[in-house]
Amino acid sequence: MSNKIPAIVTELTGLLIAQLPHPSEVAPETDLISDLALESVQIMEFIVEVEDHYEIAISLEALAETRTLEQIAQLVSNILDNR
Amino acid sequence: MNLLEKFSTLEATHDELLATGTNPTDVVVEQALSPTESIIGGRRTIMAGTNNYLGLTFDQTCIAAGQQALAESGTGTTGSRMANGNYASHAQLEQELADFYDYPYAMIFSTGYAANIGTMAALVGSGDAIMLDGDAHASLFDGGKLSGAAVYRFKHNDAESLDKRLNRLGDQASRTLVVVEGLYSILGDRAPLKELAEVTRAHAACLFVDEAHSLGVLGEHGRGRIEETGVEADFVVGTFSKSLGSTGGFCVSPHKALTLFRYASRPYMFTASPCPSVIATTRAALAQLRARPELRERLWRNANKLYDGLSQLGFQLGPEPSPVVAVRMDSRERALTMWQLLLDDGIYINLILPPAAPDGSSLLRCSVSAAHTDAQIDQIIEAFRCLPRATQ
Repeated sequence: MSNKIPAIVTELTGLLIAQLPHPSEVAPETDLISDLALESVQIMEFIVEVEDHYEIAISLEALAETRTLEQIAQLVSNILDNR
Repeated sequence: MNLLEKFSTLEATHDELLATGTNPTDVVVEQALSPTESIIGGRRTIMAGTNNYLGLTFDQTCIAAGQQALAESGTGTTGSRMANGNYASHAQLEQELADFYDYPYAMIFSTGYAANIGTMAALVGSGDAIMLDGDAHASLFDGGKLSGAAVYRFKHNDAESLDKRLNRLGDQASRTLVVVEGLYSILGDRAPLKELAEVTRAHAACLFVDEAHSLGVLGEHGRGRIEETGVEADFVVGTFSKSLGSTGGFCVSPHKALTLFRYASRPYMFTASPCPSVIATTRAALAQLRARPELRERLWRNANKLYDGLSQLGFQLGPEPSPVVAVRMDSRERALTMWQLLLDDGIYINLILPPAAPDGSSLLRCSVSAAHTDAQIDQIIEAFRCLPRATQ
């Protein structure tokens, strides 16, 4: 795992908490669907915020493989590395 | 996990819905009486959730055209357009659509869903990109998936968000299809098409506009949001199943490449062509749409009356008056209960539960028809007035 991941997870956590409809505990391994019960539209809105924060584009097919903040952080890190 | 285990979550949700005594996905229309009334559960019910915007489903000219086609051409084509299912009336409807939009090329599909996925999948592929409005219809997401292109979302109706994302794509922006709707089906809000088109052009991308809910509804001649805003899109897609009261879909375009989609669009090639009677009623309905602008005037009078009436009752509605009037509910449970109370009171509308609503909310979605009478609109408003108020 890239050593950038923990820092990205921390930033993603901040973005996610700001968007949650109710206060929840969020950890790197938190599953956005099964643990936070987020609807797909809410996840999409979160991803739009992530894209704007890092100024990247995340395709829906790349996103389909991710469920946790850690996995999204890995994806963000890969996109940043390949830019 | 075996193949069927994944349905357990769906089954649990379904069971939960049934336990409430309300199943909005299983309403049976026992008899359709008119464009605005049906028998449901043995009682006469006002239909205010049918997308029958111009009320043409019982138009005598359309019915006669369909009956004549049935008698003269039979019940179905039993083949695709590529084989034995290519009838003269299909080509005539395509010519009439091209003429209506004043675009040189037109192509019809067996459903509106097929028109969306068929056009998108033919146009873009691996190595290309699709930039979808965040509130786009499921068929547009499916079209993106079928195409094999990379699919991205931008914030709903936000030209700046689109611009930023196209910038991030770099050279790929010129191989991007920007996909928006003219009038959004859930909240009834219109696309800022001029701004979105300007951004699309600035990046040399292609603009695709789905006018499913705006054909016959917007624009001086009913051509939709493109006409209302004076925008020329690269591809305009729509359906026959709303304002035209039948089934099927179409794409019109200024690009000759559309003629080659007949050899590249699998949802066009590998399905039976529309029945002659469906084509006949669609052609008759398109002629009615063009000849009777008063239908559109009546539709908007009804839409404004319902929007104003519900607004005055204090309901939180979609952002602007339109033939789609969405009423926000503060919870899924309340939406379910209110939907059932309205049905029990003889009013059928659509129940929109998460994740179908754009922002994950629960909505009671009404759609207005030109065929609704003043008394029917009053009755819908009165039924909403009688609903128990939410406890704060």
